[in-house]
Amino acid sequence: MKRLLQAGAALGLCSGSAMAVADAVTGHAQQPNYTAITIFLAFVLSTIAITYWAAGKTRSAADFYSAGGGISGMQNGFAIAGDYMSAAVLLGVSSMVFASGFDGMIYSVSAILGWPLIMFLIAERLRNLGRFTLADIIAYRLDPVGTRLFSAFSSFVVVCFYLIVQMVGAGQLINLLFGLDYEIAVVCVGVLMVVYVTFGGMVATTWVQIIKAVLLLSGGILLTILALQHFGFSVTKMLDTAVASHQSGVKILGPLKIASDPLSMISLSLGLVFGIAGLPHIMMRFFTVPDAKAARKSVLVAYGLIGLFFILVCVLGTAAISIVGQQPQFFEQGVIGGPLLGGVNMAIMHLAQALGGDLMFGFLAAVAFATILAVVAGLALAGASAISHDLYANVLCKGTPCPKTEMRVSRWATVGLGVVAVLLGIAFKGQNVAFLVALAFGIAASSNFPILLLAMYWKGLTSRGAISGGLIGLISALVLVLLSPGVWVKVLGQPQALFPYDYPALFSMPLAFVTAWAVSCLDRSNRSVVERAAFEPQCIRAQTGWGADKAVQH
Amino acid sequence: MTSSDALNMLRKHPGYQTLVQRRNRLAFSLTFIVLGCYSLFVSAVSWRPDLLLIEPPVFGLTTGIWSALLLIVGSWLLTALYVVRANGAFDSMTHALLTEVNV
Repeated sequence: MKRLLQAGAALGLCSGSAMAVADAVTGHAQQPNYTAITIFLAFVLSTIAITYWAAGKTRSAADFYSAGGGISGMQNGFAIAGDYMSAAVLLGVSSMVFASGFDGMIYSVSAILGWPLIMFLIAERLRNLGRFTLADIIAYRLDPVGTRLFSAFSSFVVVCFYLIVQMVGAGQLINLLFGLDYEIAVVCVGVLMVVYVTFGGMVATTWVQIIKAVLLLSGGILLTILALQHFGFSVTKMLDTAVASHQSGVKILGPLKIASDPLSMISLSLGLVFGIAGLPHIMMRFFTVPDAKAARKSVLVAYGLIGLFFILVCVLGTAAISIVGQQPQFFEQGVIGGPLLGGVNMAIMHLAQALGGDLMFGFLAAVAFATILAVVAGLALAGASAISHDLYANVLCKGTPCPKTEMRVSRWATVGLGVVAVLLGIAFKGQNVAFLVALAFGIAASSNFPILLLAMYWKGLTSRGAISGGLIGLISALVLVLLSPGVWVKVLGQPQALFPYDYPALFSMPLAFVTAWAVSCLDRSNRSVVERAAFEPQCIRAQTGWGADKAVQH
Repeated sequence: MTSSDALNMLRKHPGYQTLVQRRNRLAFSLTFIVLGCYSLFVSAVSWRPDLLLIEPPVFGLTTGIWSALLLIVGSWLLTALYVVRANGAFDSMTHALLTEVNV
């Protein structure tokens, strides 16, 4: 489970030792990798140019939150894939395969199987009912103040935990790859993210995601071809060599550490599969397309790209077992089988170095950093929308905000979020933040997801039920992660974990469903009668798109 | 026509009932298939890992790797099937329905 947490969090590069060997990783500390810097600067310049262009198109709140609903299904598919294919996946899953073989593949399948379910159950209803945020759907027929407060809060919590992980990871990665100071790196990421989002809104963020998705996929494909070439394009040979050179031998073809106990495995899968549907920065992408048809198409494209990417990453991890695992220069003090140079997550970077030299290494390093930047921008947008659309426009102004002020609030919210992200990034420097990913997914799966699903499918859900169920899910996920081995023992230094599993979803998700159901059933208030009656019109709109928000014409 | 009239017409329209029934049936069956296959996979991982280590004589890779690949590719194909049905037949039904009600 320990390995899993590390890999799942992926950027849980333990910085202490990572910093010490940073020089060794780049190979030549005095000469930074110019390929990496050139490619990265090209990425930054082109995305800033796009932001400048997008700023001209971002006039209204609708433009800011959802690009006016004018993104095509294909574009949105790439952008969703970009949002989901984080540096965490690239570095974390490949190193998981590198360390324990088939475990990485089990994790991959679990991490992406939520997508078909989102397609069948959620995507078109989401598009037909919502405008800008997840809260739009939950508050559609329920108490607009209470449910929005809850939903904005829980979205905000998920976004913040995710942001911390990305910021800490970005700081360490840049420090490692470019030799920049950790603090300066974190500030750079914060500034760029604020620039993209405040000026370019959803249009710029979408294009940053698209470019990054294309870069990441082409990098992955190129490296895979190089890796397969190394084995004469024989997957069997690659696998046999991997088995021959791995410490655990033939055991890496089966579950090694991931399923040490079945309940952990089930809890992990539940959180991963259903967590996606509760991630606000991913779900808000469905509002950027003109209609349900485009929403469906974007999931199909996104899932195809994501599936391909995960398979590539698994192949690369397998190739790394024999290629990286046999060369002493990639290990600390040259001891094969000892700690990997630069930390557990660097396997794929070493593979790039081994197969394509400085050029490939630099390219992959730049892409990994661009990936973090893009994901951070998406998160910032989701967080800013929760503040300005849910809290300001709908809770404070009761749904009738002054459009100009709303825009201003959303921009300042982004700036505020950028400052918070930088401060948190610096505060958590050197901390093991791996557990925050489990926490973000756990909360998404146990608070946003159950309420979203019930709001769309169950007539009986009332405001009281939604809020209490969601809060119970959120709190129980939070408490269970706090008491888990990952936090209670490793972070807080207590001798014994009070809750034996690192992933809370198996317990907190059903708890949220049951609470929401029980409280709704017991709710006899006048309001609940109105809310239940409002289900049918909502259902008709969800099914047919009748009255759904249309794209804004430019 | 007010919006509540339109809603009433939609609700009682036999076309609407058929649309909802057929699309729900497809969506729920596909969900069931995907979740079912995934549960089998997770059960094998948790309780019978030996089943994943068999090497079929023809294809070279283990059953575990094949089932993971099949899950990914298969669920993508099912997603494609749903999109084709929903963007084709179901959307024309929806469109016909909405035009009729809005007239």
